[in-house]
Amino acid sequence: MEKTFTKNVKQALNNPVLRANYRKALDALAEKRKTAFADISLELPARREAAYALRLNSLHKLPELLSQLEQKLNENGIHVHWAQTPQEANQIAESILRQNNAKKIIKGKSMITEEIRLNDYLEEHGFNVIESDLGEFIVQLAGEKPAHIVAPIIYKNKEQVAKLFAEKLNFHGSSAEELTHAARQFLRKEFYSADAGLSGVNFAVAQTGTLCLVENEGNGRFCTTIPPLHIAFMSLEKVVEKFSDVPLLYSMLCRSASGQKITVYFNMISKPRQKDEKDGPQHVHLIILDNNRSTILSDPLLRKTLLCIRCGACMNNCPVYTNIGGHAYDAAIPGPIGKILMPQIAGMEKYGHLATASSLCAACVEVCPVKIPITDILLKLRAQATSLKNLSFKQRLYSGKLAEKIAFMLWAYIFSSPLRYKLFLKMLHAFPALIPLKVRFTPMLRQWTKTRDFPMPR
Amino acid sequence: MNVYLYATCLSDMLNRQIQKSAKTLLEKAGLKVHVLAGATCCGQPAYNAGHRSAAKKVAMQQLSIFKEDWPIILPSASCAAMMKYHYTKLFEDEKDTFEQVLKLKRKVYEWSAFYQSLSPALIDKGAAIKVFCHPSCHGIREMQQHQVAFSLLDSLEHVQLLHLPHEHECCGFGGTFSIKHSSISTAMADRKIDELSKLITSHGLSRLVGADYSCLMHLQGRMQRLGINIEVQHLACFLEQRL
Repeated sequence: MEKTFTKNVKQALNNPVLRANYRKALDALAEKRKTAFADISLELPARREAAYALRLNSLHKLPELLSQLEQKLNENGIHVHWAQTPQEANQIAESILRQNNAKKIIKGKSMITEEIRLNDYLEEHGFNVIESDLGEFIVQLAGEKPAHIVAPIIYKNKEQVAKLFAEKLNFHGSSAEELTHAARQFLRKEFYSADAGLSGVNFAVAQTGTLCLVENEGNGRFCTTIPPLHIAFMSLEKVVEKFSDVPLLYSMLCRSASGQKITVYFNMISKPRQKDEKDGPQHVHLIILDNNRSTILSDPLLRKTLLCIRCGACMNNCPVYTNIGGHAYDAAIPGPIGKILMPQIAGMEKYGHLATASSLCAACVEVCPVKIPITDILLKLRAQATSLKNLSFKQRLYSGKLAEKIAFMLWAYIFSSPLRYKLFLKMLHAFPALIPLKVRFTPMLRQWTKTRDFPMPR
Repeated sequence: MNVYLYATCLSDMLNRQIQKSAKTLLEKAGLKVHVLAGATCCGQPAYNAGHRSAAKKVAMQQLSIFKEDWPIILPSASCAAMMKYHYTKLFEDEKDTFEQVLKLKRKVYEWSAFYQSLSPALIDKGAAIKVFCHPSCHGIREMQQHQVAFSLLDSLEHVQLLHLPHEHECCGFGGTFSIKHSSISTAMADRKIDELSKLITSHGLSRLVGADYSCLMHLQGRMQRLGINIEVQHLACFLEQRL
């Protein structure tokens, strides 16, 4: 996996158009965020603190909140299903779809369905899945993956989208308005003919059993009201205690994500269609996914990974993400939050290397609306990854982990004694001319001198 | 007033002028400066790479060297942040050491902030010059005092301080990150250097200064490789030359 990452990074760094697309779009998003908080800049620290406390409180009470949520939803006629793994979640969705004889499925934007690779699973099992969020629709049309959790097509510019529409939809237009209109026309008929609508959940309120869905395009409302069946997906940390918890988190989410004070649509789903109602799905299901989150919860620091409300501000402000783009991470959730979440939900073997790909600049920590200590968590994951336990001798050598450990042991041996340190300095300053030679033979330092001159001791 | 100056390993190894200038300026402002004997490294390289036991071993050595209850001044925001904010995490489970860590935490200051607090006479004897001051990530987001360097430079009569569009963005150093992910790190440096180059050609920028030598070392190493010749100096060295 680290090899794939290195390869992806190389590819991205050698693609000037891609990097320019990212730079332009992310600068705009970062600026929008700043402007959005301008009217409450004095209150911002207090609001972040409040949002953090509120989310942490939910995590502390998670088991009871989840059972309260289940009970309320059941009372309201929404079926609740529990999935331990992505595979289980996919199978549950499949069986609900089959029971309802649903073949054509329209989807709202949802990152958790990316995490479980639901589209791939359903398509392999003969279902027809259509993404209805404009960005996700374009991603699907291109046969690619979303590169950002809020702005999936951030890597494409308008011209590239126009070209794609010409190829795939035989639509010829160039302005954003024209392209959006074409997608809208295409999707409109799909909403009416779909057998089921799928969505994510932004906040699930335990007190009232309400599923809140935040969106701008109205496609989420279409997906959750027109087809006869609605299946919602959430990971278990999405639950909040009270309805009064929602406004603050909603406001922090909108301002941080898109620089809006409020989104165009805010959906509150609490029941399937009632007898006297003319619209709404007859059946509503909620699939709640664990995917190792219950283990993460047991550690007081790592737990804070789950505070996330998926605003994407960390990636918009991340210099690594800006340079390499979302696809390089090869992960459902990229960027700083992905670096701490992916190794924990999908395994250190697969994603451990992401934790090392940070300069610890903490730009993400500065903007996180719920104050996730991303750098502290990165450091903890790095510390866990230095352990050589469970590695074969070959793995230790091959991964370079043993070499790194020995290098730091040697470093500690010298730097923990003033005498040895002085001796080391004497040698360094006595033979500076030898340094370039030494550097050439030190594999670690060679990575420095590949692109940079070595600073000569003065 | 007596103070300790903690030289930092990077200055010891690569640029001893930094500690000399930092010391001279503090002395000029009326302090009695004691360069800490027995100081080696704050332990940050190992801590940031996840090698906590190596980091602890070296950090323990630093805890043992402060005999008097004097302020400890570091000419580097990242080393200061390590001692002030990360030792409590590194030693969080060590009952016997923790009190010592807390004691140290209260005494640690970053050089430029401490220097400014002395209200030094900033009479600029240098020639007119345009400079950019790189605010390090640790200066901005951990010590939260990068503005101090700006205001010190702004007070100098013949110095014009220039700014970059993405001034708060990391230079890409990040310790072992610069080695493990050399290509990303270099790309980050290049972004910064692109903006610097524009200032060089359009505004006549002629010097890069900063309060963290590690970032400067990184940018300098990259600029030298790219053939961009601009003098790079620690803030203390720059100030000492002019005052």
